[in-house]
Amino acid sequence: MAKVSFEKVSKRFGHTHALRDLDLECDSGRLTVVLGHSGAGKTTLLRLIAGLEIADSGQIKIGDKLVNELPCRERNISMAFESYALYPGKTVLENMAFSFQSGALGAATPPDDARRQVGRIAELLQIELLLDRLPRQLSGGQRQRVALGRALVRDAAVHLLDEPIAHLDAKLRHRLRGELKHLQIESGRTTVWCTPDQIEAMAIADKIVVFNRGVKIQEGAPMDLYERPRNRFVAGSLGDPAINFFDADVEQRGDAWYLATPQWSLPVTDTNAAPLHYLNDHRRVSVGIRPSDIVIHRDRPEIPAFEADVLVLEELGSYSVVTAQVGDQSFKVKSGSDVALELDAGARAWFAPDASRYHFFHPESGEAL
Amino acid sequence: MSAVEFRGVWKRYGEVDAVKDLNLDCIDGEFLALLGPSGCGKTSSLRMLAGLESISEGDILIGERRINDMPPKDRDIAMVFEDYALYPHLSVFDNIAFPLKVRKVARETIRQRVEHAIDLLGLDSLRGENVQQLSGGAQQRVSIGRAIVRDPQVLLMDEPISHLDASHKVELRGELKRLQRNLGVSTVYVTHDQVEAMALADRLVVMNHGVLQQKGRPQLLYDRPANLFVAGFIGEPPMNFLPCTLIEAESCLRGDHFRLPVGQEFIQRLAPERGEELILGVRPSHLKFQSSNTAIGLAGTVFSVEPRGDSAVVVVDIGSHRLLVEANQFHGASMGENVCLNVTEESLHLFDALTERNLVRVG
Repeated sequence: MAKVSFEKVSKRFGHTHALRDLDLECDSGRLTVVLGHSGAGKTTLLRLIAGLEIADSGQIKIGDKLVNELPCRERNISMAFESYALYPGKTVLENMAFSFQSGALGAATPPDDARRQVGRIAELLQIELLLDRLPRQLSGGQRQRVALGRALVRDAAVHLLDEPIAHLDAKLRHRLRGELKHLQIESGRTTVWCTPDQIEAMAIADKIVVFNRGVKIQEGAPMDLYERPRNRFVAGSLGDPAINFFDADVEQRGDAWYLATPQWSLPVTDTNAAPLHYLNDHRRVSVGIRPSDIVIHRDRPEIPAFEADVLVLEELGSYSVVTAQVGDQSFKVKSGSDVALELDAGARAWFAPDASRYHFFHPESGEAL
Repeated sequence: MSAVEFRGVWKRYGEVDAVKDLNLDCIDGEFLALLGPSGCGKTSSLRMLAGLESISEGDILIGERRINDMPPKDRDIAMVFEDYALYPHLSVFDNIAFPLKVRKVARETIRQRVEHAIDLLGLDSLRGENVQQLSGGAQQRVSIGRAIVRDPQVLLMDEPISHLDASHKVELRGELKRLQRNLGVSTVYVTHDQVEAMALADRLVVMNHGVLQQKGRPQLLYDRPANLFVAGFIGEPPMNFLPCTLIEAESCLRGDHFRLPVGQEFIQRLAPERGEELILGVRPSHLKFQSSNTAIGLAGTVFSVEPRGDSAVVVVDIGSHRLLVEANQFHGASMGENVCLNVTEESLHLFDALTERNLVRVG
């Protein structure tokens, strides 16, 4: 069990900065999820830990050991990367048990023990019936699971998983998420898992690290990032549907704070307005409000609300997503109530944002106020 | 009037029946989604409609005309593909004009039709732009523009947004729905993504292994799935299934580590033709945490908690079953905790384990 740390690590490929000046700690025994789109730097990060790439600058440590110069096979890591790299001439069982056979774990493990461990992981990944097959006889999704299984069977200090369940069907993905999380907790393995899927990241991570174009933007526990995003990018990265953004003027009337647009003016609770206290009156802010923090009303409610045109209604079973427009601003509302179901394109409705749930950002930099 | 009708349609590839006895219709102006896992027959069905595949048996009608032997170009349909297939060297205007130019339509007519499409799709400011410079959403609109400029009877779409990342998908989904509404063009849309289908469709057709499972409004399929497959396929997180038997004498459903009392009315409403082995279905959003541990309910242990921001999925082990519970963010459950789950009778689904049909009758 070991902590992985990056100190001012940079990596370039030609003119592209894959990673810039990265400081990061992946805590020992914890599941750290690196969240970002393709090109964000996630795979480079894993490859640097694995030793498949050499950093241009900075220090990479596994445990307290500086590993920059250490070859891949001496790093005691296990990896499941997108290129499955299964041994084509070996069966699924042999592929997964390979690390036992090669004595990579020190003294050779007795065959019964190896088979049992492989069996356990195979069952977890629902590939136990494929143990005698060769890789070419498997579907893409099955091969992905074998590669993952091979990495999981290894008892290494650090486990590196690059989008390990990406290409599987929704149901299996759902199931494996929970199983893999549990496995990680039981085994206490330091795991670094990359994904572009924010629902996945929120579901399993002890810590999420949000990346954008090679730069670490913010790290923290899932709900911490969700509730206290440090900028618009992070706010927009978590939550489905994504957070709504609009520009508004801040107004102070006595002790009360208001947000104003050409179409409406709405109050902000005292606590929520704290970041606004440092602004002058009539200052522009960029405001974020989550789709689930706006309530729809058919008729004008008693509480502060604004009227808008409904553009689209999407009924998703247990909830609906309403897309509406006020002025030239369109926004989305997530609603569990029946009120949404009575609406349709062309209808007008009243929308009441939760006055305690606004996020405020600097209109130019996008940094949280 | 039906824009599209399938009557007893089969598609065979040698020994394999890809589509079996398919009967469906797309009403004029409707957005019809064909939904199912890969290999279910939805794409074969779309391709038969387009004329890209032959029809093994049965009839397909477009605008009430039998089109079985008609080549694609005479069928009065237009197709939008996943990669949009825009002509990279042409502008927005020229891309949309192309199908008309190729048919040697009069120049003035082309201009009018293209202007109309551009106007409907909000592409006015982008008309002269090279399509490669455009955002995904704009490209989608150009692709649709090119399809509708010929004023087709039916628009066909084969998973046009499946390759996009989640947030773009959500955005384009809403736009697509709005566009289709404004255009009023009958649309047949293929997807494996049930959230997408639920969001977009006026009516859904769910298929599996070449067989139509159920068709109807999305909310209907969600609330009253006809069988186990539809019940498990539609809804995110997916429905929970617990094998059980009905002990009529004790007025309860009994399974591994649980006993759920049900009223006499509930039992009366069940289809009489049923086996012993049943499967109880409950949606994650219908399971509620109980504050006190009473005799009624499902007792288990929290396996994991998956935060989602405004909600959470709490995974609970009950006997050998792993249930998903959709809770709000204030659920307070933690891993390893013993919990008790409540469910109302109205939200119970009961399936015959053998026939897989939903035994709960409406009304």
